[in-house]
Amino acid sequence: MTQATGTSVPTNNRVIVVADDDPDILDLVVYMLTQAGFEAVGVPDGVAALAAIEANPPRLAILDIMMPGLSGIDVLREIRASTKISDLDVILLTARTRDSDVDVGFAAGASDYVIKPFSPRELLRRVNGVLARDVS
Amino acid sequence: MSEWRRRQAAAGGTIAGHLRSLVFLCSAMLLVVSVTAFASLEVQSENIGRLTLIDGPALDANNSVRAAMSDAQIGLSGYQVSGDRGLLAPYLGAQGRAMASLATLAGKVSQESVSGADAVRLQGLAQGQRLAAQRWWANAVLVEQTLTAGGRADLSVSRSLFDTFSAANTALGDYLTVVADQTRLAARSLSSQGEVVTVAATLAALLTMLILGGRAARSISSPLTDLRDTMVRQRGGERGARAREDRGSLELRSVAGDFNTLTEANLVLLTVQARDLGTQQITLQIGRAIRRASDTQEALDFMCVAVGEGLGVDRVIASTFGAEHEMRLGAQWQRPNVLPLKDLAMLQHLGGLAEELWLSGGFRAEANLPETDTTTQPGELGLLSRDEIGGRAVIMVPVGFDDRLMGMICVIMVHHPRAWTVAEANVVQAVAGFVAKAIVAAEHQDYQREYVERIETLDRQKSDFLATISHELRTPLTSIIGYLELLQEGAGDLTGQQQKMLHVIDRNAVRLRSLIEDVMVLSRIEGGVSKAGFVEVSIRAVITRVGEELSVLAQERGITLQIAAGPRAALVLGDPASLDRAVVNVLSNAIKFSRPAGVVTIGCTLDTVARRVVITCQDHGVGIPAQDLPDLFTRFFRASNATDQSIPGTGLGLSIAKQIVEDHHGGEMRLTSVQDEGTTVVIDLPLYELSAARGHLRDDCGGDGLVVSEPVGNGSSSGNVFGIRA
Repeated sequence: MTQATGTSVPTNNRVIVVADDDPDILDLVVYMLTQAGFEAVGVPDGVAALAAIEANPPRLAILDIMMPGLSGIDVLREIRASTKISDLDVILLTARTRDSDVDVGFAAGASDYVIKPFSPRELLRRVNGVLARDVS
Repeated sequence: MSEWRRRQAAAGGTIAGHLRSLVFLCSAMLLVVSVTAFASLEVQSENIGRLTLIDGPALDANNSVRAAMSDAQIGLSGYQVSGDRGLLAPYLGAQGRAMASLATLAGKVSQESVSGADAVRLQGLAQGQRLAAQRWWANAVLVEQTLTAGGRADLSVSRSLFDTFSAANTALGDYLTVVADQTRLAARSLSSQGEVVTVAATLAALLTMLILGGRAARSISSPLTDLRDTMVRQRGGERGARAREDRGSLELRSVAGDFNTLTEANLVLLTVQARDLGTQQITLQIGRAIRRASDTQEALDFMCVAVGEGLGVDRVIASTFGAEHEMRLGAQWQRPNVLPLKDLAMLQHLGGLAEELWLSGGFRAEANLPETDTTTQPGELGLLSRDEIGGRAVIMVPVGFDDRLMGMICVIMVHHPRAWTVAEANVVQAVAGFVAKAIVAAEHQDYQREYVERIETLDRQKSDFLATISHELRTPLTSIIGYLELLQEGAGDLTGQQQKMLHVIDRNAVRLRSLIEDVMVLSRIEGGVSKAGFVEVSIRAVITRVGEELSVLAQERGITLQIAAGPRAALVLGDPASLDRAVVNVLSNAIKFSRPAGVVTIGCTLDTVARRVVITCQDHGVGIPAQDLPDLFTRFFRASNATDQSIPGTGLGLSIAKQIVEDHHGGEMRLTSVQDEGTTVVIDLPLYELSAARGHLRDDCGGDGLVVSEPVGNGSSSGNVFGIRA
């Protein structure tokens, strides 16, 4: 499990990339994750998210769906399509609540789907849940 | 009358005539026969009369005279010889007898019907005999006197006198016999003559009857047979069969003639019918093809070809008009050796004429157009000319609907005039009707398509709008709730007062969130739920799932949930998500309005008699004040005690649930409540039963995915029914 083959990331990696076009929400999530001991990297759009992920492969990515340019789903697809980071855990964070949206998200390969507005505590629970799943 | 006679003579007589002749001849024959018989009988009786009354008696009288005379002679002779007076006895009475018989004889003789020389002879003979008798008697008297006086008499004198008498008597007797024989002979020959005549007359009568009868029969039965044969042949389809009018009696010839006339008329009718049927079929075919055409242009094209070929004309042109009679679509057809028109502008000129024709409900059919018309402008409802139409004969029919002119059809003969028949004009009119319908139908379809597209667009826009709104509302709310939590979790130390204030903000933020949720749901279900998407929903599964979902909420508030999910057969036809939401709303209300450590029960029962599925949810919480009960289902309404006690809620829950249950699923929602005691909510839905095998119901608690069950021939759903497993 090395980065050279790029299919998984060491479990001691505490980097989480967060992408959301709303600065308040971005700050909130980054702050929360940092409080919880993670190394949170916040980016405002999908392109930056991909760049950050490739520059410093994180343990987990939290992506807002509705972003200008590349949407969270697009980024997710890029991730899944790439060879280096295809099984990166991704949590989709979004206000899109319709069943169809959820299905699309999971179909694109999301590990989880959190609906706004969320309680930060809830989000942390989900993050830990995803990471725990990955280990087992 | 003479005409009648002539025809009668020409014909084989009349039946009446024949019968009359027959009867007449028969009667005549009968008359002849009877007259003959009668006559011969008459003569016969006469003869017999003569024989019995005259000839016989005459002979008898003659014989009596002889007998008497003989007696007299014998008596006299005896006396003469013997002198015995006793022997005179016969002589004594004989004279009287003889004289009497002679008298009788004389009488009979005079009655004899022989005439001429025979009568004279008979008279002479009778007279001779009388004289002879008288002479003898004269002598006899003398002799007797002499003898009585004792004298002697000469026998020979009396003898010879007697011989004379005897000869005369014999002669007379013979002659009388001859006469009698003659009579007898005459009678016999008459009788045989009579027989012959009778037989002959009878035979003649029979023969005549046979001949006449035969002729009559021939003149009746033969033509009748011919007539019947002709009818049979006609019935069998031989159209040319005709009855003979040159044979038979007058009446039958008349009948045959009438039959033939009728047949001719019938044939004409059949021909007309066939032609009409032909044009009708053409019309139907054209109609069918027009209906099949995918658009108006194709319909026009096909129509031109079909009408042109069907009616056998030179050219057919058609066009559709806009509101200003400007041409929209055009089509034309022409016979192979006719040049097509370069453009159909001509039709545009005739637009005004078409309009008038349509409004007056008519058409124009011109068999032979004049060369040019200098008196009227083209297009006026006056004379059309060859130049205007480009042809010699034309049928012009407007195409319209209601009071709107939509187009025109022109059927043209280019070089030759043509006397259009009514049937042909009808075909074109009918076709114009079809085309009009086709155009209207096409317009309709276009409208419908536009309409549907517009609705779909609106729907899409609404969905997008909702999604956007949802997103826009949730995003700031996320920050509010998020930071609020951070603050509450100890981003720093807070005073009790500050904590309380944060709590208020929190409550309202949550309320705002619920509101957004509910508004989203409401606007989604506002448009109604399409029943076509309904599936079989297990209420048991719904309750179980909702129970699980809300168990966290219940736990938080210290409420015990008692769930009786109900029987497996409790199935409802509906939308699973909506039914979920309705039950969630009701159950969450029950939980929210319960007091801590309270119990909320939710269960499902199945009423097989009434065929209903009943969900009952009961709590023992704060209940609802009586005065608020009527407004309970109103949107955003919150009962007074709810707002008092700060129980979170949007006031939309019940309204949404009610709409789902009653409007979308045809069910009923009933609520009873007593303040401070509790509330019971009943959701009553129609039971959905599979008409196919019930055995397909499976365990449907837990697990994911779709289960396909048997196809159901249910009117409200089409195709297969899917049972959803929770």
